[in-house]
Amino acid sequence: MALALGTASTPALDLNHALGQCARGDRAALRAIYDSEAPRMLGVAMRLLRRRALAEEAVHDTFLQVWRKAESFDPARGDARSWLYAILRNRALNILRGETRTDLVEDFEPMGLVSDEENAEAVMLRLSDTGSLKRCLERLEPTRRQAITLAYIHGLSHGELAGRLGVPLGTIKSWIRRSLLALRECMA
Amino acid sequence: MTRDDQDRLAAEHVLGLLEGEERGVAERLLASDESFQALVQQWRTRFAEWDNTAADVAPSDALWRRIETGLEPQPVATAARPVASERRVTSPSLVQGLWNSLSFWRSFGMAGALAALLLALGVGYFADKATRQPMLVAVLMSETNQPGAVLRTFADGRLELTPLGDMEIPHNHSIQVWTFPDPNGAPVSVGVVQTARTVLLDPRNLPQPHSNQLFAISVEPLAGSPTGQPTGPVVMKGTASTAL
Repeated sequence: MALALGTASTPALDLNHALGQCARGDRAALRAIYDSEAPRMLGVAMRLLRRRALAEEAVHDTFLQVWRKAESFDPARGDARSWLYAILRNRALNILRGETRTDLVEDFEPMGLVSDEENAEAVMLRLSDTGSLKRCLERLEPTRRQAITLAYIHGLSHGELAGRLGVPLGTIKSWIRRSLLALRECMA
Repeated sequence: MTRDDQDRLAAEHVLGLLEGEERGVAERLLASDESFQALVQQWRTRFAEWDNTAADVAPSDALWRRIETGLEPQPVATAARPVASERRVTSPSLVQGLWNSLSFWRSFGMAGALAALLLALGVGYFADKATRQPMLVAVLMSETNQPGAVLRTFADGRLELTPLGDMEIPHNHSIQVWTFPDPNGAPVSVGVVQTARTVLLDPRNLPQPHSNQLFAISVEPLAGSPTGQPTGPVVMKGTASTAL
């Protein structure tokens, strides 16, 4: 785990410690987490939500939750960084899945999207060579690798993946399931 | 549920793929079941490398200020109030009032939009008049009551969709036109549109639309809704009226 996360952009900050400080009401600690993680978090949120305003909303909500829940963070149950990104992904996926129905309608004009979608192979190239995710994804058939990558990074649903890859819904579901089994075995 | 089922559920939860009932099951397990929490944590760790492939995006300066404000909401709420009451007392001037009035500018914007709509309708009407006469016309309005598209139906069963203004279709998505032949029934697809320009739609098995029939447009995957029902947000809707 430490290896995989060692590629973080700014490894200098001790997130565990900073979260502990947040739990004690130290705003400077939250700001330090923000300075260290917000750009990457915004990048992750942009891939999911495409629109900057929505992505900033997700990051905003994430930091408020981090502040509120810092006390409940338990380093024994997982590292701080994956805790932060779990909150961010949850928030962004909720925005993507339903809550935005009204948002999207309300500011209809910005339907023009900020960033172009990134394709799965470009993401593969950027995965760390030392990590097991890349090695294990390489063993999957390219279309299946594409399906699972797009699901994670762009938050595409089964239905959207089926539409995108031009295969029936049932096929997508079984691709994903088999890919997950293969990944679990390979990454064990 | 077997361990394998739980593991699949945990992974698909982390991917964000769960819908409906399964999503609820996963959320309940995550809140209560330690072994499920551990499975979820494993998948988060496995997939965390993907987060590192995202490009850094510099947040706007306003973002941190908004977060900080959210941590302590009181100061902002009190700061806004005196200004409003002061304006009420000291500036009875109509011009000043209008200048500051959001609703005035909103209605001004609406008037502009309406003028644009009439112009669009007018141009379309005269251009079309020479060749064919629409039976029904529906102006589809966005949630903010801006005209978003005009739909015309023709006697031969075809429909013409004209997007208005600066409508853009999200990258890698389409918009899909739906209608409700039966007001209490399920929507029926009229057609899938990938580019924001006037298109002729030729739906099969669609009964001749009637006056007051509801039409709506949703954002869908590129090939249209995979389920046959709208899956994305409805971005505009409107009812058809007889074209005179």
